[in-house]
Amino acid sequence: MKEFVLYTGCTTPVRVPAYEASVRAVLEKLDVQLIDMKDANCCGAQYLESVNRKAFAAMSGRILALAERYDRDILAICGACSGSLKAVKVMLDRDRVMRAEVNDLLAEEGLEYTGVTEVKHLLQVFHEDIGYDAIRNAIVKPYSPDTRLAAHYGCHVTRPYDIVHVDDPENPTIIDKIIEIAGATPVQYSGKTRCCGGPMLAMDPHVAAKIGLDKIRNIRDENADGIVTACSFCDIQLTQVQYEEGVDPATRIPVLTLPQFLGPALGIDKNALGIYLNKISPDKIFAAVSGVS
Amino acid sequence: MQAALDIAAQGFHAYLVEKSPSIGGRMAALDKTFPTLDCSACILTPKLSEVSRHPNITLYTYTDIESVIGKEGDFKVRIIKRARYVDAKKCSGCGSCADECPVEVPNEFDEDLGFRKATYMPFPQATPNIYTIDMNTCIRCKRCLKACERGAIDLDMQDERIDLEVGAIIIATGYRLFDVSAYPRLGYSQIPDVINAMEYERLINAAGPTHGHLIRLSDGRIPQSIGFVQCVGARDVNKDVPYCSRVCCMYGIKNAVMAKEHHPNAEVTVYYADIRAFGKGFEEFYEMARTRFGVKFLRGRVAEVTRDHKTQRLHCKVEDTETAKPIEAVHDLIVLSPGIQPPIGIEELVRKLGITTRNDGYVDVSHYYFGPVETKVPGVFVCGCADGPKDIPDSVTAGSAAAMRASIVLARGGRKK
Repeated sequence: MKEFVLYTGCTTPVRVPAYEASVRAVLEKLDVQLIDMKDANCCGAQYLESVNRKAFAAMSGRILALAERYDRDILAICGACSGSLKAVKVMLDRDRVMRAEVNDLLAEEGLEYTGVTEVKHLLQVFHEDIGYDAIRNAIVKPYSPDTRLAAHYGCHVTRPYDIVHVDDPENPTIIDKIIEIAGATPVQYSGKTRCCGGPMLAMDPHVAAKIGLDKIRNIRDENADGIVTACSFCDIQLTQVQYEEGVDPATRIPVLTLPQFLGPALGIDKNALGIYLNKISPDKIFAAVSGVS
Repeated sequence: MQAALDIAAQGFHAYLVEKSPSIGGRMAALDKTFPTLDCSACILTPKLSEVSRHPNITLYTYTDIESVIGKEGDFKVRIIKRARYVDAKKCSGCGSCADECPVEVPNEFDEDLGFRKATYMPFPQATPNIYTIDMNTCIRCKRCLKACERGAIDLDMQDERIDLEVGAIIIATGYRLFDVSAYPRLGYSQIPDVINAMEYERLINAAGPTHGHLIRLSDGRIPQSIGFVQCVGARDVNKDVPYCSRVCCMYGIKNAVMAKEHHPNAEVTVYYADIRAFGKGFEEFYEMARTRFGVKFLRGRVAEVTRDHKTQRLHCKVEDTETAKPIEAVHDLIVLSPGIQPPIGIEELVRKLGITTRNDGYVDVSHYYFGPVETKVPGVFVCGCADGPKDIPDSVTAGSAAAMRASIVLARGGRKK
């Protein structure tokens, strides 16, 4: 059985707890064991990263060092977290001076980064550790092919490839493949690999909304029944943006995290996946899975 | 072809081995050539017949190389002449078999845009002028057997192994086009009105699937605005093609000019990284495209092509790098100009010949400056795009050069056959 130490990050437990819950439920079903990382901190993504490189390296470095205590690789489920941890890992592995400085700071707590742990995003665990065949074998309640779903991968999940090594950043396929394995139909849409606009929120909410709504419009153009995400920030942004002024409530497209989508097909109860917390009800999608109420 | 003709003209015998059913290569599928706008087939076909009629040239088409042994002056080459299920001696190329054949499959010669039968000739001037039955799609209904008055069809034909003894070998295997679907953001293979330049060649070709009508593949409408995107799969380290394809600037300009020839009122824009008009008459041709034909040139590499669902038009995001402004242009048709890559199967051929390729996949030459057509194995020569991208005149030059080097081996007493 595969084991990972789960790093939830800050945003997921606070704003999308259903994502965390569904990750736990789905991975358990697929024989992946998760150990909770205790006493973790924020990864420092983006905001701190843009202000102070060393502080950023220390924050993500601390998480990497903590994982070494568990002697397990890290599973990160948020795009920003997995991106930061992987970027800092590369930084500390290449830059000896930075590693020494970070280790000086970590020494206060008796922690040390030595570089033995790897960081994986949820998509990698599905693709590399569980594998498509095992997922296919675990499907008990397949979706109908009439269910059309648009995959949104998230920039920091797949870019830059040389650091994150998840999927082809220009033509990512993991979510699409899982949608297909679960019986539904993945739809292709314009600007599939574009940003959700989320990171712009703090600087310019107007631009962020424009980017997000552009994406929603492209997805709506392909008559998708839902959007499947693999990043907490993207999930929040693509949901929130549909509550902007001028958006017709009737046209809102439900947004699901990947494990929330996959769970019902594996026979997992909807409540265990926190579906009731989803702001735009995805019931229409689940109606297509036989026997899920 | 040029190499075979030059060797034959000196009184030596040349065997021309070609993988596909006809000689002629890519040039046979092109519409016009740069920078003179000559009809490609018109200048090529006299060469085809010259090759086929030359007493010193033996043509083996639909044939693969199985093995090569020996050394300079004394090579033994075993070839596999694949069964074409049509007797070359009896077939007159009349086409009765194809009229009768009930199987239609996408025509690779037309870049899969049109259809051909299971018994086919790739193009009207195919050399040799005989039909080939594609057994992968043939349903063995045997209607062609009845249709053929000369009894040329033999569905039980077997592949034939032939041993050739030669003094020198010349590699002229051509190239493959870069697969532009490696750039999903440019929309190829997702948006029907984003096509590649080779498909465009077939669309504007009078012998092509639309009889030369330049239309949109999605709805058959005449495009009022056409964008050409240059350097797709060239000069991009991220796609493992760091080199310049040497031809995409010029064929791109030529295609833009042809768009104006077909639809003079259409707006035609070329998006380029920079225009490399280095050959004879190239710069003048570029100038003519701008001034006489009114083709618009915009410097910038296209970021993304999307389709507007309401208007069905294509939106092209690009930064105009001369004004440093991002723009979004709207077109009806977008043609991606792919770079070129080493031909499929070159690795295997290289292995059989005991020669090497460089890390870009092209055949390595013996000396960068003074051995441009010699490989590192004496007696094995290379020309055309097998050792690097070339346009037509350069390929012909290299063909003649390789023939010269090869005939030196022969003149010194290498096998006269």
